[in-house]
Amino acid sequence: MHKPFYIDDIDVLREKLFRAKRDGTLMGRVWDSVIRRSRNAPAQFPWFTPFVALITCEQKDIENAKDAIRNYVATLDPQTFGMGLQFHFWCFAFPHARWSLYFHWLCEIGAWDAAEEKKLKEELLTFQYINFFYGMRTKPEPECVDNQTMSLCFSNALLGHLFSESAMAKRMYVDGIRRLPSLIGGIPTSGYSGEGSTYMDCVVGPSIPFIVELLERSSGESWFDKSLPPHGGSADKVCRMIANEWMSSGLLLPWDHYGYTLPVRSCIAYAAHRSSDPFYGELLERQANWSYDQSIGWGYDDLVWSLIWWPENKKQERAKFASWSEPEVGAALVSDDAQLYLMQMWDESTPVYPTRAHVNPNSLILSAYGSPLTIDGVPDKECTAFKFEDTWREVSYMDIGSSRKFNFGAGCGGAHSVILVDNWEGMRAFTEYRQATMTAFSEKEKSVTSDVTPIYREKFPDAKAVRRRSRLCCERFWLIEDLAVFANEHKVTSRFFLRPNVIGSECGIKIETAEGVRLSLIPLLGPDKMTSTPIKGYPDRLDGESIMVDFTQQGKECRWLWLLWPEATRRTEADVSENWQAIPDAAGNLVLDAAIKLLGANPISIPLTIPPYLQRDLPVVRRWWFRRTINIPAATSWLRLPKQMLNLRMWINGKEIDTSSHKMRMNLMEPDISIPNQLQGNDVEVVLCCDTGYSQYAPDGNGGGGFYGKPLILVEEPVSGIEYAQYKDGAVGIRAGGKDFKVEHDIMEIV
Amino acid sequence: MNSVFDKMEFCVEHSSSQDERSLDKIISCLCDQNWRVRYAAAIALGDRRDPKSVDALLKALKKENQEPLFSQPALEGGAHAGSNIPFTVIFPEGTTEHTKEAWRRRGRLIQAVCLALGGIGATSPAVLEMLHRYATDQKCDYGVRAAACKALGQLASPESLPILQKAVGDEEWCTSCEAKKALKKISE
Repeated sequence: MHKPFYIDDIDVLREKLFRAKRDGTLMGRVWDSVIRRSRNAPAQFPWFTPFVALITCEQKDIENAKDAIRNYVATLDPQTFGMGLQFHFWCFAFPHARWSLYFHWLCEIGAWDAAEEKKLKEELLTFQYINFFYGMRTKPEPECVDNQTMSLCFSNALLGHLFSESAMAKRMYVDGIRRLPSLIGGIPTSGYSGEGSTYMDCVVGPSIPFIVELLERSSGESWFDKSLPPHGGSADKVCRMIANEWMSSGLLLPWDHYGYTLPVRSCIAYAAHRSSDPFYGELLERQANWSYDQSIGWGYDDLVWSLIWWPENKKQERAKFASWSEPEVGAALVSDDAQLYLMQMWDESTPVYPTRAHVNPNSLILSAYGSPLTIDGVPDKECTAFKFEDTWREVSYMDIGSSRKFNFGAGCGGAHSVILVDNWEGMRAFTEYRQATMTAFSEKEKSVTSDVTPIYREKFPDAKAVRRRSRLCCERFWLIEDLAVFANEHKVTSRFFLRPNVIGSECGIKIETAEGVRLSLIPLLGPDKMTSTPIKGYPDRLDGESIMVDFTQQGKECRWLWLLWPEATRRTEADVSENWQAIPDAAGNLVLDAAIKLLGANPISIPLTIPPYLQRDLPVVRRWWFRRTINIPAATSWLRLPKQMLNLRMWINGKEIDTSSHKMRMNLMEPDISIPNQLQGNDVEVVLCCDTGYSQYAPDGNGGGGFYGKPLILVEEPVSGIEYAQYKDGAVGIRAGGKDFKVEHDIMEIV
Repeated sequence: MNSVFDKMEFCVEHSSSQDERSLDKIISCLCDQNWRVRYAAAIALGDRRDPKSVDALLKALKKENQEPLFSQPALEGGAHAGSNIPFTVIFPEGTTEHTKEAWRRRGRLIQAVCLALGGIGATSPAVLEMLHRYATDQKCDYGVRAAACKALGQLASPESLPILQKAVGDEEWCTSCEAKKALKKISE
């Protein structure tokens, strides 16, 4: 009987996937797309091959998987001479653990002859012992709790468990498994490791199922919802935080380092498997997109583990995006229709060198109508901003034979939407202390207040109070109140990082995003003296730039009350996702005329929502051409296309439309391509040429991530803007679009 | 017991034994031609905590100090972590297999010996001198510096205070953390 580790009953899993495919469920379509890639392009999607072999047990699938593992083992020695393995060994430990697991799976189905099995096992074990046992012993126990130590300890424990007939394996197991509970328990009870959404979602979260299931199989106890020492962290709280990071816009919070990213799914699938909370199922079945593969723990098997954990028989009840708070780290306010989203963060930053856990006391993340409005993250290499005089660092422990000088200013207060004092942009903590306290949160009132005085007081001992209160009002707009009180006069700046582009406004500032969503930021209390500065290269993604807006006042008691008014200027007119003609361009050298001839001759007809090769048995190639006739309404219109259509070119009635301004942004957002006005009211022929992810490792393979989305025709939605807004007699009054809003608002007291 | 793997297995398998014969065998493995075996032997001796192995461990360290462990320049060729795409590394002309082996192991064996010495707990001037040197040697990888600080904490000798106070300021977190812990242990 086959006993592939982590899979309790292989026959049950096989039957689940068979039924899903037969019934055409979402799980079935994902499974189908994984098989297609594994069979039609095994060298391009090596991470899928062992799972497909395990499920099908078909000889060709087994040979593909064996080749994938042989190739991996062949890379081990060359890897030894790389800076990555020598200095960032954890990045190699986690994938090594899974390749070893997949080797074990193939052992379980009798895929290897005895000699090869012995040889591969010894190579995998030896490599683990000399690199990752060494790496694990480098990380202080129990102080070091992060994604790196988690990867190292897990890899040692897993290989130790898998190959327990080996003395080395047993030795690694003892030290690895001992440390695993405290690595979960060392995460704060918020579930947030402090390393930003990228590390939370791409390493910490994906490691949770592996660790919990290993602990449970080793001890026979339940570990999922156990609060563990030293900080009371638990696996279910980590999963909960991963779900909380999932914004209603479909992106992950750009928390701390790296910025906005796309969600991963395996941890959510695991939480759905272990928890009765329907929100996990909602994310899995209705919010997640499945055409891309995201690197988890430095490997491309998020889809594999999603399929393994995905519960089959959960009731498909709807669950809403809801407001949440975690007193240690932040809170989110979400409108009932999930169209308006605000997150206020106050998680601890790392003292002295805030490289991962940024200094973001009460920074704000906003999105409306599917469009992010504010930014956070890291600058690109060309960006000249945030190189503050007091934030340079030189280290020599990260590279072979050289030191690295870098500026960590992007992790400091000056790179976030926070209060700054006396122009100190390199604002950060220097010692350990509690930096913030959530003083109020109401899910019902959709309101949150946090006091961040300590992190200001360390540098400015006369600081009495620095607080921010955020409210989502009338399911329509936000009020933000800032308060900064000192014993002496200071120059106080309220800084915001907004997305481009600035459009005219009489007071405050107004932007309109590339998705046509406007945000007016208006001070109802406090001076309107403002500067706005375009920051090229920050963040390194989305628009690749932002607007830094500074409002300034001088005094002992500085206060602003902001109105943030979002408006959507486009609405969906028609769904045009079906019936696109498609042809592959394997050589990537077709020109328009030739492509049109081929599209007319023998096209495939597909919905333009994911790459054709995921929908049918078609060549897994990079370049594709598509054509469809679309009726353009008699109004200002846009064609919304899927995300990640790489190197997109577009022709309407044979005339090329410039799409270059969307190039970077469409990695994260669906681009709205403006339709020339003269085409309004006509049927037009749209031809698209784009590249899509076709390989997990080819330089132009996009990690195997295919495009995804739903082509739509959007038309202009007239908006009236704000006619008036004021704060008077303890209330905010607003008139916009013929509607009046009145909200009581007692300003924060200075206590 | 001919293969490297078998020798490594032997060392680990006997890391909790008490008999002299296996101790001698592991100590002989500490002189094996293949560093992987020496590495496994050092870990096993640390686990056995037998003071009789200290001299052999120190001898292994002295030998290791003569090797070009940290002399590797950045080389062309590399791949994404976890990748299974074959690649080759281009070495400077004349690079010997002996040098390549040194580059492969860098500070692994030194780390294992430092931790073994700390685990055995037998303080001597020679042991302290060696550990003091590694604790702050910026030419070594941080895996070595951190291990040396940890070992000094286990030995808890007041003589180590100045060197550990210096190591607390190490720019690398693991080393600094182990140095802080060691200082605390000495002051307890």
